[in-house]
Amino acid sequence: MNTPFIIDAHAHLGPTQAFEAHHRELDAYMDILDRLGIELSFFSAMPTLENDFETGHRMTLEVLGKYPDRLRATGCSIPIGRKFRWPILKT
Amino acid sequence: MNNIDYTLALRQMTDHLVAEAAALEPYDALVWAGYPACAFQVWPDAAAVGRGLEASPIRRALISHTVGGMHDATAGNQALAALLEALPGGYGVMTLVPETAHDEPVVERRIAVALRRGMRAARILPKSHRYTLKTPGVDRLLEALEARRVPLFIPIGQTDWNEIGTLALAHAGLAILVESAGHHEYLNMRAALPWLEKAANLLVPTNRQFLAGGLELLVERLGPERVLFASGQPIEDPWSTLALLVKSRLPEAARRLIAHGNLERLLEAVVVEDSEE
Repeated sequence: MNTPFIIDAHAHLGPTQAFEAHHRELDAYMDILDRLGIELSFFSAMPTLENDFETGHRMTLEVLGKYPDRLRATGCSIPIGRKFRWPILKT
Repeated sequence: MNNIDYTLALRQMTDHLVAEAAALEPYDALVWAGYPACAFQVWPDAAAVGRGLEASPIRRALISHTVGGMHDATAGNQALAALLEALPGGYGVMTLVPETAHDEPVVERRIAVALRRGMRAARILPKSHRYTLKTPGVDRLLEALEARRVPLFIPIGQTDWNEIGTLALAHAGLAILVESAGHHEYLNMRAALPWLEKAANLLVPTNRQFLAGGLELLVERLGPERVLFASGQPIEDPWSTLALLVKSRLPEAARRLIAHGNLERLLEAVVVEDSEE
């Protein structure tokens, strides 16, 4: 069977305060991608969505480094105020 | 990028998924007949239900009626009984409300009549029908269901986990299917899982279970005997939960229990005939 090139445009990785995500760890997530035939996935690291930008962006870069061909990421910050910055992503 | 014929490839993928789903012989615990308030499809009568199921890999279903769910319990049960007469082999879910007077065995009689007319499960809707699970009369209704081993659906949005858990412990012989405990309740796992683990008679239909790993989590914590395939079609897309089951990492035996075995076991246990009737 020919296989289409499937891109997942919305995914999440990592822990969250709200609930216990069963497949939150990277290996479990990569297993889901393999099972469903997804070639490329755009993810957000959960800490960035809960205002822990430093932790979230460090996690983002670490994960991207492990699977540079399979993953893409979105950064997240609050684009107002004097503290707005992308320190991690500039390194 | 490549020379893939995407139309053909997607058709092949779909055909493969349908074949895998059909092999599980799914028995859908939640199919709606009637006119829902909001849906892209409606199955208003037995013919439409039959056609709808025929178009999917789901051949057997436990039917609920929107009139019972959204309007009046008695009218809904009558509409569903009439529909079941035209749907040979089909079973239904009666809608019940607690009685407020106790001068005759009204609830018991209503359940007996409904069972004879093809109902094999019940649903209560405390929020919609303006009472709570602590209202006097609810216990009697639950005892009547428990005596006949009639499974009971309660949508989680109609109450909360503390009420359902307390009720389950008080009626340990009653199979309670906590309906629509899907995406929203996945986010509420810290409130839901302790009750699910504590009360073994709480079961989880799979409708609105569309998060990766949700089924595996439930089976890991509760065992495969307490999860039942339910779609909520045609209001909800059956493939959201069916694909999750087909593509799960669960063993074949567990997937077959969820697909049909657990519901069959519940329905076979229902005491339909009453020697006193």
